[in-house]
Amino acid sequence: MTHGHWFWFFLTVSSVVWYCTITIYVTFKGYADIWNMLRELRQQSETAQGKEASERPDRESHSANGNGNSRP
Amino acid sequence: MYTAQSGYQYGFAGVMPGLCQATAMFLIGVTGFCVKPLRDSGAMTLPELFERRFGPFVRWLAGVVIVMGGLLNMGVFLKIGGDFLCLVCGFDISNLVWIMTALLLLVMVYTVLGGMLSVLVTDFLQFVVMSLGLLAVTIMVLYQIGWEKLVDTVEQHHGVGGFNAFIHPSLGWDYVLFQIIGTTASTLTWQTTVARLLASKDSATGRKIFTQTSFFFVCRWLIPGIWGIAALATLGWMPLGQLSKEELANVPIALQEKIAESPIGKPLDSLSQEERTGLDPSVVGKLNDASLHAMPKFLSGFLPIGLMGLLIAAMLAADMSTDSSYMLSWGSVIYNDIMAPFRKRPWSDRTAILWNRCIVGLIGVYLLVFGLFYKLEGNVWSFMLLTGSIYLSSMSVLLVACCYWPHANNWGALDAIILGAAVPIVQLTMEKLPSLKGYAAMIGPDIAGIAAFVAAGLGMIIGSLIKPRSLSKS
Repeated sequence: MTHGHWFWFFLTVSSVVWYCTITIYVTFKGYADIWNMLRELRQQSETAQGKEASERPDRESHSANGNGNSRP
Repeated sequence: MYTAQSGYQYGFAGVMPGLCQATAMFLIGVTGFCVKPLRDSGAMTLPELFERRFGPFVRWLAGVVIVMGGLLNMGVFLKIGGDFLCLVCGFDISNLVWIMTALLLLVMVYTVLGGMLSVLVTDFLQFVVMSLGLLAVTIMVLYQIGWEKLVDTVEQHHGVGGFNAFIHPSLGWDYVLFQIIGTTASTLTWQTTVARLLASKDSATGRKIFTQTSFFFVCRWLIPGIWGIAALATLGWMPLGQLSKEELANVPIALQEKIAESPIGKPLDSLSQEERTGLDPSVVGKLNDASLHAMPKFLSGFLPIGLMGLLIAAMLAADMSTDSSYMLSWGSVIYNDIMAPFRKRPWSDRTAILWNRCIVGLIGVYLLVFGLFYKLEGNVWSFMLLTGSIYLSSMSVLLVACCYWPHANNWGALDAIILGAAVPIVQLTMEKLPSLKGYAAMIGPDIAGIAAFVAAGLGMIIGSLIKPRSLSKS
């Protein structure tokens, strides 16, 4: 079966098996990781936008007042 | 493409670089040699680490040679990708410039506009598509051509040397030694590998990356190598098949016979200098590309239509993900290390992003121009390892000295960088000058590559030792 070259035969079979395993593992684990990363980035961006929106009226009243004592 | 070319040209012995790199990665991961102190230092790039030990000028010069070696090295990628697409799709090679431009635009759009996040997501998708394509084609090759025929082909064309690089007539001890040194150095200092290590959570995670991904390098060389051997089994060695009828008619019969009987991958070796200069340059270029084009030609006739589509998607994915990550890697060195002395004050995020986009754009233009005008002769991997040695030689010596030799200083570092870069540059220049081509061929890329590492090592030792102590203290 190895045609006299067991080393290269074994290495070829190992490569195909290893590559199959890694492909399956990376496909599922990578999908989950990227999904979580994108969700976290979206949440971070929403939190940052929310913070900015809540700070804006503060800043506006602050500048309208003209001094730094308007914060309750 | 280049790993398949090695399989076609040298048989199983052509997988040697993959075996060397896998072993180097595994041993470095297990022992933590250099990678542990490097990761523990907290530096973001190698030049940043060198600045701490050898000063800002060494950092700048290290950045210059890293970019020089890296860009020369990746200069052939776009052309090889374009060649592959042209051949498997059955397009005329005259369309290469359009295919290269389209490929480049595709890569640049998502690299420049999307940055690291888009590269990360597309790299993941590309890996999945590429792996499915690689596996499907490999299983089909092994099933349809068969292990016995592959082994017989290697025996018939390469003899025992086809299974053992030490005794292959075109390889030998100098090739193996250069592979061991070169792949170990690239494991320690190749920008894309180092970027992974330095981005890892801690040194233990970094070492795990090395040990657990080491076998990937065997697959990376063996799987396409088998495609190359299958191409040899199916098509044989027919360099004249590259030429059109008109081009063939212009080659004298005596020369045709010599070319047909030439060793695999070296179609012009049996011709005299006069006979070579008598050939049309475009004919010489096509003959030189015969071994590189063998695998895509074989696949274009071997695969059924559906699988061919998957393969093209796979190869496009492999090509584009490599181009995009290399552009970002070398772009970051240009921005962080080479341009650093020109920034008196830190730039705003907006300016930094604009500059990075411009750098990536310029690298893309360079890839297109270099790919179109540089005439690559011989084995692509030999060219890549030699151009890589411009910086691998000195950077690996600097890294080892930085981590383990307390007497190393900036004089030694500068000597190592200059000497390590000079040897491969001289060899590459000699290869392009007709009057010195013969000497370059006599030395060969392997001896030149080994000499680069020796020169860099000696430069570091001698330079460090001759620096007066009074200057060292200051």
